[in-house]
Amino acid sequence: MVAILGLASFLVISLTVLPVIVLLMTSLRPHGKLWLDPAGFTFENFVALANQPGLGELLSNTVVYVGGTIALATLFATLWAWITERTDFRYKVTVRVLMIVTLALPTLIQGFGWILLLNPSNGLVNHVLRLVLNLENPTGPINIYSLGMMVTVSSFLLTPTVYVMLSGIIRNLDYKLEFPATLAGVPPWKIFARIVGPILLPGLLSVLIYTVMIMIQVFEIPLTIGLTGGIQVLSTRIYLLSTAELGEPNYNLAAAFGVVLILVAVLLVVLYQRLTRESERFAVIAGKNFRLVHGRLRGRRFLVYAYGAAFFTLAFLPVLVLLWTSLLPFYSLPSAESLQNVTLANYRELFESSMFMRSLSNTAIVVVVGATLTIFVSLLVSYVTVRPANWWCKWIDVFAFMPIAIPNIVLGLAVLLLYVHTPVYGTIGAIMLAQVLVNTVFGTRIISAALIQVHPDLERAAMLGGVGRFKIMLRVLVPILRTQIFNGWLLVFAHAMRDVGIPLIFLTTQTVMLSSSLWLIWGYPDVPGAAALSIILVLLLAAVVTPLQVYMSRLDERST
Amino acid sequence: MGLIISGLCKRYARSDQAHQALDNVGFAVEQGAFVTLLGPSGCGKSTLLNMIAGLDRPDAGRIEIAGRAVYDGASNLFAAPGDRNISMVFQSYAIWPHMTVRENVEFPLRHGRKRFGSDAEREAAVTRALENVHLTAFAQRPAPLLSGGQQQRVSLARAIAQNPAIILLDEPLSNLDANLRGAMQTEIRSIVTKEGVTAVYVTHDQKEALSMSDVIVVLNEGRIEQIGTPDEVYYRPASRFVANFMGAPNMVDATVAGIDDARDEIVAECPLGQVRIRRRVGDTPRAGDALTLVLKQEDFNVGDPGDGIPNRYTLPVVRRVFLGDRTEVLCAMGAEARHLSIYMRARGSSDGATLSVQYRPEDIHYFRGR
Repeated sequence: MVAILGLASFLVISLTVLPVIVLLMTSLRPHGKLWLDPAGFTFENFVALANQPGLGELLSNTVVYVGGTIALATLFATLWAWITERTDFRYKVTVRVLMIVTLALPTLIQGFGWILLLNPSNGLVNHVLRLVLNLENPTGPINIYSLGMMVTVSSFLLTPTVYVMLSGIIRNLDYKLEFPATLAGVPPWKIFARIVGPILLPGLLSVLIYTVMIMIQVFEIPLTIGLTGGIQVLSTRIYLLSTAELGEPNYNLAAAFGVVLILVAVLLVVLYQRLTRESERFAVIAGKNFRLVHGRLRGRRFLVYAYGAAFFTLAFLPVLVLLWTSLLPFYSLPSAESLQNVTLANYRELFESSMFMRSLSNTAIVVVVGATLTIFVSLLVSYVTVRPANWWCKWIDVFAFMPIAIPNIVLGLAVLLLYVHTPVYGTIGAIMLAQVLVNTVFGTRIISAALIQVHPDLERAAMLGGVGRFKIMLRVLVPILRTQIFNGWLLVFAHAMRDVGIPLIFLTTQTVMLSSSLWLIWGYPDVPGAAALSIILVLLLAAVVTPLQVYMSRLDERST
Repeated sequence: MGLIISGLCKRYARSDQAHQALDNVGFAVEQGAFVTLLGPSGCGKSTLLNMIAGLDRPDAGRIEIAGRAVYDGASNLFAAPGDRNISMVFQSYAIWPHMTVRENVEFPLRHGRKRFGSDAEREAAVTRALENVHLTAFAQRPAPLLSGGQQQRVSLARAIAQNPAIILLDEPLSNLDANLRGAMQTEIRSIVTKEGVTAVYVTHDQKEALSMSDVIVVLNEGRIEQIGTPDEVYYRPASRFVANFMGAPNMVDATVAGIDDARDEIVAECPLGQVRIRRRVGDTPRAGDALTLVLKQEDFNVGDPGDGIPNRYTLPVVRRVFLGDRTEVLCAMGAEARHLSIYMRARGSSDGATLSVQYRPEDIHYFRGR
C-alpha cells in the first residue's frame, strides 16, 4: 500500500500540482523572466492584465459566448431528453447513437466545416440563400464571423454533452415519487414545481456548473471562427499571448490570465462538489422494476421528426461539406460541372508531404503511449481515492480532480513553462505529458466510477490470503475492470487525438501533430488539403475506435 | 487457546459526533471451537471481526491468534492482514468473477502467504478443499455462473484451503433463502469442525447462533452482554437485553415475599399471584427485593396437574395466534397492560375462555432488579 500510495502521490504531484505552482510563480515574475529565474516577485503582470486594452470586451465576449451557448444547447438538449425519456417516440436509440457520434467528431473540423458553409462571401449556405432569396449583395446574409454564429455553432457541439447528462437525470428519477401526488389529484404543474423540481435542482445545477467549466475551456471554435472575425475570448487570448502568432510570446501575462482562470476554476469545483454532495443526499435509489409511463406524442411526432431531421442535418453538414471539398482540386460549390472534377489528388498530395507523415507518426506515438500512461495513472489514483487508507488520499483526489475546470490551454501553458529550459521541451514528450495531465481527470472519473462498484471484499479475500497489493491490482482488479479500463483508454485516446490547443502551444517542425498540421494547412491557406486531412482524422478515429469496441463487446459477451 | 481478545476498544470520531464501536471487549476461545458473535446491527460484531482480521485498527487492547499476538495496543504491534494466518468468508461471497471455481480456490495458495513445496501439493490442497464442499464437478465452471449457495461454498473452500489458524465468517448465510440456509448451517459447522479450525462466526440470527455454536458472545452497543454456551445464553440470559434477543420470553416483575429454606425456594408475589422459584446457588434475596422473572413461552405446562403442585394459574385468554407448528395464547395477567404469552400444541387449542397452566419452580430464571 505504501508503494502504491507513494507512486500515486508522486505522479499526481509531478503531473498536476507542479505545473500549477510553476504557472503561479511565472505570473509573479517580472516580464520576460521564468519561474526559477532569480528576479524577485511582482504583481506587475496582474496590473498589466487589469489595464489590458479591450479587457471589458474580452470579458463580455466570454460571458456572452459561454452563457449563450449553454442557454441554446440546454434548450436543444432538454427537448431531446424529454422526447427520448418521457414520450413514446420510436427512434430513441437512433437519437442516442447519433448524439454519441456527434460527440466524437473533432471540434476543430466542425469549425472548419461551418466556415465553409457560412462564410459571408462563398459559404455554401449563404450562396444557396442568395439564390433562393434573390439577394443582390455579394456577401451574406449570414456572417459566420460573429459572436452570434459562434454561439449557434458551439451550441450544436455542446448539445450532446448536456443531453447525455440531462437524460441520465430524467431517467433515474423515480416516477413513484410523482405517483402519490398524482393520485391525490395534485395538478401536474404543481407536481413539477413542488416535487420534481426541488428533487432535480441539485443535479441540474451541477450539470450547469459542469457545462460552464467545459465552455470556458472550449478553444477550437473561438480559434477557428473567433480569431478570423476578431472576436477574442479568454482561452484564445491566453493562446495568443503564449505563442508567437502575434509576435513575442508574453508568458508572464499569459500565466497571470491562467491564474485568474484557475481561481474561477477552484470556485467552480468547490461549488460543483458541494452540489453533487447535495444531490447524493437527494439521491433516489430506484429499483430496476419501475416502468415509466410514457407521454403519447400522437400527431406531435411529425414535429419531432422535423426537429430531428433539422438538428442532425446541421450537426453532420460540416463533415459532409469537408468531404466534398476534399475531393476537389480547389474549393467550389456543388454543381454538375464541379462533379466532373472530383479527384483523390488532395489525399495523394497529403501522403507525399513529409509534414503529414511526421505528424502521423508523432500522433500515433503520443496518443497511444499517452493514453496508456493516462490510464495507468488514473488506475493508481482511483485506487487510492476509492479505497482511502488515510487523510492524504482525499487530497490526491482533489489534486487529480482540479484540472477539470482549468482550461486545457492554461494547463498546456503550465507544462510548457515547467519544461521550457529542459530537454523535454521541443519534443513530443512535452505534448504527451501535458495531455496526460489534462486527460487523467477523465480517466480517473471513469475508473473510479467502476471501482466503486467492485465490492471491497473481493480485495480483502486476497489480502487475507497474503497476496500483495500490486498483485491484487494486477490479477484481481484489472481483469474485473477490463471493460471500463478499455473504454477509458478509448475515450482518452479520442480526446488526445482531437485536442488541438496543446499541440499548437508546443508546435515546432519536429513536434507537429495531425491536429496542429491541420491548423497549419488551413492557414496556408490550402482549404482542399485541410479538408482531406479532416476526413482522414475522422476516418482514423472511427477506424481505431470501432473495431476495438466491437472486439471488446464480443469479449464481454463470451464471459457472461 | 485459539483466540484471545482483551480490552479491545474502538472509537469512531466524526467531526460532529463520536461513537464507541467497541468498549473494552475481551474473551478467549479454545483451539478448534466454533464461536458466534451475536447481536443486532450496529452492535459492533462486524467491527470486532474486522479487528481480528486486521482490516481495521483498534484503539487499544490486545489480540492473540493461536498463541501469537497480532495486535497489541501497548507495544503498538499491528500485524498486517496477510500476516495473520486467517481466512474469511464474506457475506457478499467475494468470489472473483473473472476466474473459475478452481482458480478462485487456487489464487491465494499460488500468490499468497502460504507457499507449497510443489505444484502437485498445491493441486492436492485445492482438490481436497473442493471435495470438502462437494464442488469437484464444478471446478472448471466460471464462478459467476454458480448459484448463491454454490458461490458461498466456493468462498468456504477458498478459506479452508488456506489452512488458516482462524476462519472468520461474516454473516455468510444472510443472502441465501431459508431452506438453503438450514442445510448450509449444518455443512459449514461440519466442515469447519472436521478441519479443526477455530471459527468466529458473525450473525444477527439467534437460531443460527444456537444451532451452530460452541460458544455465543452476545454484543450490544460495543459491549459484551453475555458469553456462554447456547444453552446458557438461551435459558439463563444475563440481562433483559439478552433475554429479549433470545426469543423475547415473558419477563414478569416480582417482589420477594420470603424464603422457603426447606425446599430451597424463593416465594415471591407477581401479577400472576404467588410464585415459587428455585433459588440460585449462592444467591440470598431478602423480602422486598425486586426480581425479574424469565418465563419461556414453551415451558408452560398446559392443563391442571392437580393439587399440591406450585405455580398453578388459571388465566383469561385474550387472543389466540395460530403459528402453524404451535399456537401462541395471549393471556391477561392481573391488572397488567402486558399479556402473558404461552405456546401450546396447535391442534384442538381453539376453545376455552380461560387457560390453566403450571410452571416448574426449577425452570424459572430470574435476575435482580427490574
